[in-house]
Amino acid sequence: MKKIYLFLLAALFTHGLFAQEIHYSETVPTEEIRLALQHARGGYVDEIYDEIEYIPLETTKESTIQNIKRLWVTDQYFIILDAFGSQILFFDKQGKYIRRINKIPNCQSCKSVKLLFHDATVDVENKSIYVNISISVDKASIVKFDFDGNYFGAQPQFNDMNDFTFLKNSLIFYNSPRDLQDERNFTMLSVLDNDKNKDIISYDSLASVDDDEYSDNNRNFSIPSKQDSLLYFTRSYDYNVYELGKYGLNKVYKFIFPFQYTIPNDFIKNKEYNGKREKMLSEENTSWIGMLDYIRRHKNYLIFNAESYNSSQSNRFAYNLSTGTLLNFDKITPGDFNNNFSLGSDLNEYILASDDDYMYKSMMPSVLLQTAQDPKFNYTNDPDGKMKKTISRLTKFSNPVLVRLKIKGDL
Amino acid sequence: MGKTFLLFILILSVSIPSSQAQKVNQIKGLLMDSLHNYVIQGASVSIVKEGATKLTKVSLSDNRGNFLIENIPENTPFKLEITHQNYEKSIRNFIIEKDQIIDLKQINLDFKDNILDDVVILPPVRINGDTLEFNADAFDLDTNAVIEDLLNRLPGVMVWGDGKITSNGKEIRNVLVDGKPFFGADHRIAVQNIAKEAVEKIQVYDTRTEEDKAKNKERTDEMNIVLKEDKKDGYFGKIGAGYGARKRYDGDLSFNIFSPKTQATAAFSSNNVNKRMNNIDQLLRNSTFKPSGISTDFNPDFQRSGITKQHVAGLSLQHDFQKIQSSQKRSLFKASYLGMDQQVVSDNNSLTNFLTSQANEAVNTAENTSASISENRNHNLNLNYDFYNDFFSLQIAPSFKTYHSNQNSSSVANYDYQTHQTESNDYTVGENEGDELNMDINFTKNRLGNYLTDKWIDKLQFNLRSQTNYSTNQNDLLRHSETINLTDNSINRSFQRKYIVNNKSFKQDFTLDMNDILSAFFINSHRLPNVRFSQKLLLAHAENDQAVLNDEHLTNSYLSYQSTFSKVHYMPAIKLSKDIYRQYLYGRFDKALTINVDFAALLVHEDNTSTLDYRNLNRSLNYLTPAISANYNYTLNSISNKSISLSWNKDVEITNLDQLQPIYDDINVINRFYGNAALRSPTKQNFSLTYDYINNIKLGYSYSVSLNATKLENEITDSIIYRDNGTREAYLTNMEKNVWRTSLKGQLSRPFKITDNQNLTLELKIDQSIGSRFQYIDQKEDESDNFSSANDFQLYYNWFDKIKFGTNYSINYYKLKSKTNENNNYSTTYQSTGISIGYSITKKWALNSNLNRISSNNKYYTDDSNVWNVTTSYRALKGNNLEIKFSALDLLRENKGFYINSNPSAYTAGTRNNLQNYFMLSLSYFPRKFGL
Repeated sequence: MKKIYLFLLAALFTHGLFAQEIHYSETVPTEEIRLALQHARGGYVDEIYDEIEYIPLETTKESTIQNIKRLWVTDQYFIILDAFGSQILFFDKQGKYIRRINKIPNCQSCKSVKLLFHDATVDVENKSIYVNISISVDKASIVKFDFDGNYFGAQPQFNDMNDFTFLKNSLIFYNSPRDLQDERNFTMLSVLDNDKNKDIISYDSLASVDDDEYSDNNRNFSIPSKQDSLLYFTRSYDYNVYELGKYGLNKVYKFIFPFQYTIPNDFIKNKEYNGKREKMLSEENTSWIGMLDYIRRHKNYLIFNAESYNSSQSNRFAYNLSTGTLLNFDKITPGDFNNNFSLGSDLNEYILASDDDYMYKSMMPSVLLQTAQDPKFNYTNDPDGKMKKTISRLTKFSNPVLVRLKIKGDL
Repeated sequence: MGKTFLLFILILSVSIPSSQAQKVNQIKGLLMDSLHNYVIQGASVSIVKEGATKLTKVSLSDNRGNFLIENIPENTPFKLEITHQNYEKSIRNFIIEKDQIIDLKQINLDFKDNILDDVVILPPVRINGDTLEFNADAFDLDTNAVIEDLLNRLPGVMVWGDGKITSNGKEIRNVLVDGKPFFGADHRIAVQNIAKEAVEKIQVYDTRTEEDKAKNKERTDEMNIVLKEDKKDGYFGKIGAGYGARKRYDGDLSFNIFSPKTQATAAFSSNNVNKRMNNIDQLLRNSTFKPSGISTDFNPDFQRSGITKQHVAGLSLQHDFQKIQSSQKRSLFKASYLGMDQQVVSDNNSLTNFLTSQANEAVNTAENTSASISENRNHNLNLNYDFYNDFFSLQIAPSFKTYHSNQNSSSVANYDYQTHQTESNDYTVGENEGDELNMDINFTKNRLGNYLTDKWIDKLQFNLRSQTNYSTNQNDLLRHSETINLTDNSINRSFQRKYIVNNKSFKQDFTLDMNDILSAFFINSHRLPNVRFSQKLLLAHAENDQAVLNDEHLTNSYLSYQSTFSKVHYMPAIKLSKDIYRQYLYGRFDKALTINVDFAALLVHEDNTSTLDYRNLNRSLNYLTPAISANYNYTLNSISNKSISLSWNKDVEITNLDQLQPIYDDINVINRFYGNAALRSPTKQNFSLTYDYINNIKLGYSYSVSLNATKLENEITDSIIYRDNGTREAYLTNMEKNVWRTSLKGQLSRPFKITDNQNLTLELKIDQSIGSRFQYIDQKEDESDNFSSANDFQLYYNWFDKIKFGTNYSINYYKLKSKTNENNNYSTTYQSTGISIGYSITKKWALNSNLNRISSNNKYYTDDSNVWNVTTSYRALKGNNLEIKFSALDLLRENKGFYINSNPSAYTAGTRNNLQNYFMLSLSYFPRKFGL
């Protein structure tokens, strides 16, 4: 069994978090990708997608979803983490509700917690779900379930981590201390297999970044697509996309953006910026991209969000690794092909998941209803009446609707 | 009059939808970026007349790249200009014919590749993220236009007749200039003073965070006016003077200067036309530039009783210590001074009819004629420092006031009690002066950190407020009084008394509120009730020294005293709140039924030590003041909010020493007040049901209805005894039976958009109350049913630049139906109808007129008056800086100042002197410069 190790150096002191620079071997292939974001192409939906399907998720008292935080698509299920609703829900591929997990058996203290299930990771191969919970059970904050909802107890070995995910049979986790008094210099991104670890990447403690300024979030990892057995990792203030495979760090994609979008090279290291970085990004240079987020691989495309404080700046893109085409998801216009319905709503605009064939987003039903209730609206591509039937069953209180998109491969 | 008026309003409101203009003469098209193959959203599409530089109409391309401009003037050469900061400007020429629709189909725009090297030309309108931005320079307006004129031109923005501003139907709650309040909270100071030419752009945005939106929080739209870089400092003001018939004068001066950090005002006003300026904000409102000259302000001066001569001067300063504007941080210092010298001359003639216990129609009456002159000088200094950040907020507000007043009054009263006729003549000269020092400190500690890791002290949220007041007062009074009974000379009296009163008082209020305490100590407190811990402590200490001299040198031992009064009121409360039902869907809706239970008490200790033995008091009182309420709240995200509240609470009104043991001054021979030493403090139980609705997308449409019922125990009521010698003695007593009173209140606000430049606002307020009233007359219980109704209706019509029309109608009705003596039955109706029109004859010449009709009637008194005012003003000089105004006021000479006071024991009808017909010529100059 191959083992993958990744070291992160995250020196953390009482008054500040030391950000890190990732070091990797020169033998690791790198590829520079120049992304002129302002020239990303768009188009009408029929020019970008081969298929668009709106899949309403059945709304019952049990299956009501607050918000889809994460989505996993397996052969059988849509698995949804609803952190606001503190639950994990299973729907079949037609959107019919199957079951949910919203309790931890024999846990009295869990009953009083409002947002118990705040994050999760799915091991598709072994049909297991690891749930990060808000309190400790048996001295652990990670518990395990299978797809049938059976509970397998606390998983203390996975405590104290920022994010973790599965790549085939291997578990990878990214750890950063939460306790400000923790003076450990190293935390680890590892793959566990038979309790053996191997290092992949080390981080240096090179610059001090005030704790307030450092905003690593919980979406460091992509969800691997079954097809490629590849995993992608990104961090704040770093334009590299680290591709992890079964044999370790496969490749580094070095994203290069036009000048107006790019933070200075010494943004983390330069101590003159201490205490000013947040202001530099949020007030003085709102076009600067602070991090790459929601990274994932789908077919030949690297899909990512380029996050900045400029809310008018497009941030959702797909880069075709084969053709070099850069697609701007914000510039895709609905048309007759999808009955002029939107492809998303203000909340949850990003691609949530992908499988071998499709990408998935979600949207609020009110957006679809608003379009359908326009007096000038008519169904332009609904030969079997399926879309009309879908809309007729929706109310503004219905569950979010999944949007399944089949992107053209030759863009 | 009332029915006709309402019918007119009804017809007008029903006909509004049909009066909307036909949408014809359109030009439309589709904007494309053919290079990158996408439609262009949010591009500004404007039409400009050939040869003109500023636009006529503007629109934005929608999410699908489509644009549409309607109602274009026919047979006029126009340029269609399409601008977007990322694209080269595109121009098309066209002339439209009647009812024509021009479809330009797809228009490809050329991408500007190197936008960093270009001078950025802002389009007239653009969507910048979540912010709608208007480029002020793109809009063609008179060179003297102010921001209000610009707002009326912005697509989707509307200024309503009642002063509200909406953008795409959503009410703008707050207006800032460069991120800060501009000379106070009243947005009219900014929008009616700042020149349109000084504005770079106007931003409109929703202040809610994404999390707030997801949690269905109510919309809070804000407008920020960004001044041009070279116009961020400037000054504006007014020098005005008017003189007219009957020696009427009205002058004012204000000068305001501002920079990015500091705002300062100096203002002065002097008039004898009943304008009362009580603070700096009013002085500023009175001197706004408003070049259009159209105003729907009703002239309140004619309703005010007496003639007021006022000189007032004010200074204010605001300095912002915050380096960068942020809604999360503030460090703002404000100081203001106001000095006032005011004289009020008042005359009054009235007749009061007291209800009687007798079965015949004989009534007790008091006829009063009085005149007074009061002069008041005061100086007020207010300081305020306001600081907040993520962790805490602190407001420190010291203030100082000193005042001096003289009063000179005389009155003649003729009493007819029990057919005894008595005449009383009073003459009073008084002098009153004092100082007052206040300090208000308000500290709030915010909740910090996340619920997983932080310490309880970080998570504790509390508010601590301290209010301190120290005051001294000296009142010297000389009273001459002579009472002559025409039938019984045994009560004839003549007095000449001097009163010298010195008071010192100190009050200290502490309030501590700790909200959601359990969440600080328990990680998962959401299943527990929200516990709020509230403590209020009031400490008061007063020293009073009253010396009364008969015939100016003999000490009156019954009325002279020294006393020390101290008071402690402690109000502890634990308030529990719990959602017993909550249904919440992220980004969709939020429904909650919340039960609130307050365990509260009032602990009172009062001690009065007086040289008058009967005024010594030492008492401790304890009361429970609990409250229970149930609230149902339903919020549809970004659409509407409705709430229903059902509540009950118990409260107490503590009797005071002057109710228990008043000092009876025998100079008041005819009307004698004795109070009641055995009086109990009345308690009230209030039940209320309230329904509120607000629609956030329909132009701020809202209404509310509330039904209240109050049960009074031990209600304090009068016991009046008419003695055989013609005197009237008043005692207080508690009602032995419980008394119920109910009231119904409602409010409706409904704006209508008629066309792009015409709008209408309708506002309705109703207040009805019914209940029994009890009193004792000559020791017989008198019970009556009382009904009172106060209704107010206002309607504003706005046709930008041309006409403003406003009307209001209010009716107050009072009816008393006695259960013991039908001769006491009476009803009073008081109606007021006002119509105001402002019309721009030319850009520089405006005409305003308003007519206000008041009528009043009951079975003993009926009167009405019509007050008609006409004002015309002309603006001269290039910048409209000079205004010449002629006012003809109360043209019909009908202003009478009559009034009726109705209450369960008496009604009074009378007249007071007030402002009457005069003409005035005024000259005003408005110095103003933006960019120093």
